[in-house]
Amino acid sequence: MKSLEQKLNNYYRSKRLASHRITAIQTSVQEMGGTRRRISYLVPLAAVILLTIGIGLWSHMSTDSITHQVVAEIGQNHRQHGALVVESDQYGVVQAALSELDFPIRPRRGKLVQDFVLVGGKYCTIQGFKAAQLKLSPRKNGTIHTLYVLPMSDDIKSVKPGVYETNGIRVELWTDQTLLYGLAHGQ
Amino acid sequence: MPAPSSLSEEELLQSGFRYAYALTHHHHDAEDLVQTAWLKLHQRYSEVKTKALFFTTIRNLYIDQYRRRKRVWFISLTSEHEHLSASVDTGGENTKVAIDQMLSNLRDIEREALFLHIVEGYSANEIATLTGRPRGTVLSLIHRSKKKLAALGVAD
Repeated sequence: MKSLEQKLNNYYRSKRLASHRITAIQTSVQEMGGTRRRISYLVPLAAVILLTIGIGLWSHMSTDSITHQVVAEIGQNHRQHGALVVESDQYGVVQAALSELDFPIRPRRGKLVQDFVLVGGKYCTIQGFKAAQLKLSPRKNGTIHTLYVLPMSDDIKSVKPGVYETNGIRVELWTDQTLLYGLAHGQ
Repeated sequence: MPAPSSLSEEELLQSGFRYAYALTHHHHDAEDLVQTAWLKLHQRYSEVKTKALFFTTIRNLYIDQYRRRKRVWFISLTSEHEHLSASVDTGGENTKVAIDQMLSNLRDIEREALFLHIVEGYSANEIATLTGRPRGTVLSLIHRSKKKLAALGVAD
């Protein structure tokens, strides 16, 4: 009679994984490797896409943020009726009086000059940058509009032109070459 | 994917299958267990680094999947008697069937200890390390299972 060890050895040695099963396991490993390789390509790609979206959103939000800050500041300044440095309907006179400004205050929009009469001007600041605050009056009526002119620095370069409203005050923003203009009226 | 240097990939799979079979005492369950363990190790390490790690993974999966399921086997008394009466002395296929039947009377932990000791040639210490059982328990399991098999007719 064979020993217990021999019998058990023979018994277990006779138990074999079928070759088709081995092939199936090896195929599964290869497929898994392929999937992992695909995933390893996709992960950085997904990260780049997410990062791009994130930067885009952040940039969009920050652009919106600076625009709203400028609009809010213009609206607030418009409500304050401080004394003008110079009163004149001549842009040249006001420009000369506001000698600290190194940019032209006369708007390039011909229609603006045509439809509005200049009342006077003074210094002000928008986002910490020195600007011209000009009081204008439409020729049709006697209401007062305020025009802000300031050079576009890097900080406010991303301001989005358009028509906005803040606390009942309508603010139109536009740019022309290196200058940012903001026209406020209402209330 | 390279297998450990001492064993080829196929030898390692066969070895793992025999161990899984010792645990489950069921061909298809053992096949599933080996496949799952193999894929799991490849997923984690891209290869099966050592036989010990392969065995440990198989063992952990077995504990998770099979033992908790508490499989119940229904064997007709007639066939059992027929198998037992086939006896060990007749040799060949009948011997295998008889041993199979007798091993099914052992607990999985007894079959495992016996397999690792007799077939794989592990020492009691090595089995204790692999299974996390005290060396004394391992020795007792081996002794008891040998005794059981001897009583069932698979004598030395």
